[in-house]
Amino acid sequence: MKECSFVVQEGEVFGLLGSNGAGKSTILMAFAGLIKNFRGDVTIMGNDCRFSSGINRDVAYVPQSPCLFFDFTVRENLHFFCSMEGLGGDERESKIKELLSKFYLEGFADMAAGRLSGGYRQLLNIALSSVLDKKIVLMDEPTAGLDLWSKKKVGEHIRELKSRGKTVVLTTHDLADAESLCDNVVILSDGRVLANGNIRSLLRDFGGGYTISVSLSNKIPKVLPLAYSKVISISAQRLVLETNQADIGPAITELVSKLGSAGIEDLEVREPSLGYVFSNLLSKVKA
Amino acid sequence: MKLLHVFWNYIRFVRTQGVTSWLTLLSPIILIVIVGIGLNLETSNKLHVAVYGDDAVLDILSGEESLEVLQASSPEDLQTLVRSKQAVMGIVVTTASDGKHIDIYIDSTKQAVASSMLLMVDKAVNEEKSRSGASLTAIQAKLAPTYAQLKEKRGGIASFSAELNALRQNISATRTELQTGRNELAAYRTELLAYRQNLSSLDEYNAQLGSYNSRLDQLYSEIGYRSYQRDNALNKLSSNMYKVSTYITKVDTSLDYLYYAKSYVPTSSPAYSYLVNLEGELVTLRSDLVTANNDMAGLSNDLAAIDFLSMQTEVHSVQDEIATTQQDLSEFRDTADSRIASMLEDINATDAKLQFAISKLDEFDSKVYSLQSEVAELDSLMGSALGPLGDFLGKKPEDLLPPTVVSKGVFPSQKWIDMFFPSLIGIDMLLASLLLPMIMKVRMREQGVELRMMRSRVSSISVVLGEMAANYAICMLQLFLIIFLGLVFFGVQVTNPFGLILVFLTLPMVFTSLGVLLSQIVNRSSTAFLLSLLVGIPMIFISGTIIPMEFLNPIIAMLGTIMPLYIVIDFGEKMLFRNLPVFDALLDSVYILFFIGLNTMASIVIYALKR
Repeated sequence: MKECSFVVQEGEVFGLLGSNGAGKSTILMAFAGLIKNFRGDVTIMGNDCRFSSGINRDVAYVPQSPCLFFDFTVRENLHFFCSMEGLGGDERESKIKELLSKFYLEGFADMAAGRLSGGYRQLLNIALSSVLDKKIVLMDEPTAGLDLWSKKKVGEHIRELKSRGKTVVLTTHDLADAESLCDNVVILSDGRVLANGNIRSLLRDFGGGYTISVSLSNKIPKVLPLAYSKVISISAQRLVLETNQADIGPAITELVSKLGSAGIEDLEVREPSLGYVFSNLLSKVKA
Repeated sequence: MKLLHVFWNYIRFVRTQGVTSWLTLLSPIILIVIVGIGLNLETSNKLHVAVYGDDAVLDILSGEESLEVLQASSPEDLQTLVRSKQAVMGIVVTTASDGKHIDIYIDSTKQAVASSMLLMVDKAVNEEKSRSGASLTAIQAKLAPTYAQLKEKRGGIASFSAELNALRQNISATRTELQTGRNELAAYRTELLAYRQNLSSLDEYNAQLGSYNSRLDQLYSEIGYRSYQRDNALNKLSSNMYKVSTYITKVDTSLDYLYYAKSYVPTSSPAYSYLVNLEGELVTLRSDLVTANNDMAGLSNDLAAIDFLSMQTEVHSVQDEIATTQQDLSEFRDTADSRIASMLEDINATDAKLQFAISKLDEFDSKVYSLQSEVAELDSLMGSALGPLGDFLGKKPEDLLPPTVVSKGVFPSQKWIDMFFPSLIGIDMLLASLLLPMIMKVRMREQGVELRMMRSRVSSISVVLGEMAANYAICMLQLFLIIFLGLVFFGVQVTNPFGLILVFLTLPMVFTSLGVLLSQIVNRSSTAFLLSLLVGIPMIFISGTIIPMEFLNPIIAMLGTIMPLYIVIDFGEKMLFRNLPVFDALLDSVYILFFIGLNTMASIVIYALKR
């Protein structure tokens, strides 16, 4: 990480965005006190994160991969980690019941955690990090690899945390999730901050591009170069292009004329998104 | 080309696998280096052998460069040396009437070493036998004249014994004579004492002589006085004689007058008669006077004739003789007294000398008697020795008795399973207790549980000690099953149940603590396996479990003795079958406790630093 500086405000949902290897998880682990050997300062409420004893008291950490005993049942996992957090007796049983209910795990309480689906496993992962109601919640890729329902439930949990005034810092490379969940984001690339701020302002400042997705019934013919759009991705029968607001009409016309012979099955135009912002910023950096 | 590509790709892949690859490649190299150094026989460890007895075989063994010979103070001490691993083998050599006995006590846990050493013992026995056979003829040649002399001397022993008997009789006779002399001296002394007692009568006699002398003095004076009186009497007599003469004269005159008167008176006249009467009277008177005068003259002569002076001289002479006699008596007494005293002293001295002579004679007699007994015994011994010596001289080298070599164990049980049971459970605990914590920790790390626990409120001490206790309990269960199998199905005999309990409680903890420590730094299962092999296999090789320590290089062997596997096996052996006091395992116990404590502390510190 270098030239990386940003501030997370209390009570907001803050997103660390970036492609793989951008340094999102590293930053989060530094917040969690799991990485200590670095130069610079990482503080939470004025406390140096290197000294994790103080951080642990206020910060919950949801690892990217579910951290749980795969061969223990859901209840056993909750029971053990409640005990590790100092809960005992009725308080522990009450908390287990609450977490099972809150994270939709009641039906799987006696199932081995390893047999849970990815979504429920992640819910259990989050549940295990939620044993104590801490002020700050760090979530590393909380929705990665989840189905829509699970994503939705995780999203609901994050919103619920926000509603209770908790500060949530999450990492994701799912820009849609970031858009829907985060108040502020920082966009990272190769350990550098590319952009930092409110979603709306980022879209406004960097989200000039529109996305055109074309699905063909036949193999894509040789169409490049295109005058009014540039190719973002290309596969055998699908083409994603990007263009600006002013060129959207000519770009569609150009596509239809060039790809019409290949049989256009579907053509979708999307407004500027965080993805665009991200790719825009990335291309600028690379340029 | 594709094959080459696959080849190089594979090489790169191996290189990029980090610790796993390095451990995979280095483990065998390290193992071979350690074992190779360990088995460098040119500098191999000396084999310790305990010996008891004094025999040429042991001298030959002492000369072996590969052996370190420990001298035991007793056969029991020797067995203790073997049981306590200070010696691999103990050799007791005794010689009895039926030949030489070589008892070999072997630490049965070191059969390989023992076999090697048995060859050395066999070689030493054969060498000794060879030397004995070679020297037999020379010895016989040396002994032959001695044997002849002995036989001759034995003949002289009888006459010597008779002489001793005669000497004793002489001694007895001399003693009797001396005793008689003593008795006589005693009688003589008694007589002398009586004589000395009688000498006191000489004093009385001398006193009597003194009184006689006094009386002689008186007599001398008396004689003088009598002489004076005689002289007076003589003077008186002379005077009287004169007077008588005068009277005679006067009578004569008277007579003349008478005659004259008579002449004038008639005869017839009465006057005449008167006158005649008177004349007769006067004549008588005159005769009487003459007689008297004569008598007085005679008396005077007689008196004068008395020689008072000679008498006095005689008295003086007698007195002189008395004085001389007194002097003589006194001198005699003094001389006799001193002579008697001197003689008594001489008698006493002589008696003491006689007594001393008698005691010396008794002593001499006693010595002669013991000499006589010894001579008799010597005669008997020579009698008993001459026969076997004669037999020995007739022996041929090939007739020599071979030593009886008996191999014995020093442990109560000689079953292999009993002796190797501590090693088996030690190795089992090494592999299981070392690997289990690492594997489980890696699994927990892979499942992310460690991360979650590190972020929880639980203390590092609780985590480490909790995991250590869990591993300990599991390994104890495993060890319990192994011991149960050993005792019930394999018939392992345990002589010390208390020791078994100590082993059961101790062994799992040793390697569990090491396993927990290593688990703090291991991130992959493959690394865990390789690390356990890297740590465990060399430890097994240099701890004497497979290769006896005695076959190892001294430095490697010393390194092996500080390995925990060696310590726990040593502890187990001492506790289970070496039949040693618990105190002997004190050093092992201290090491084990220190090792466990050190590993535990290090584990806690590493875990805390990782948080």
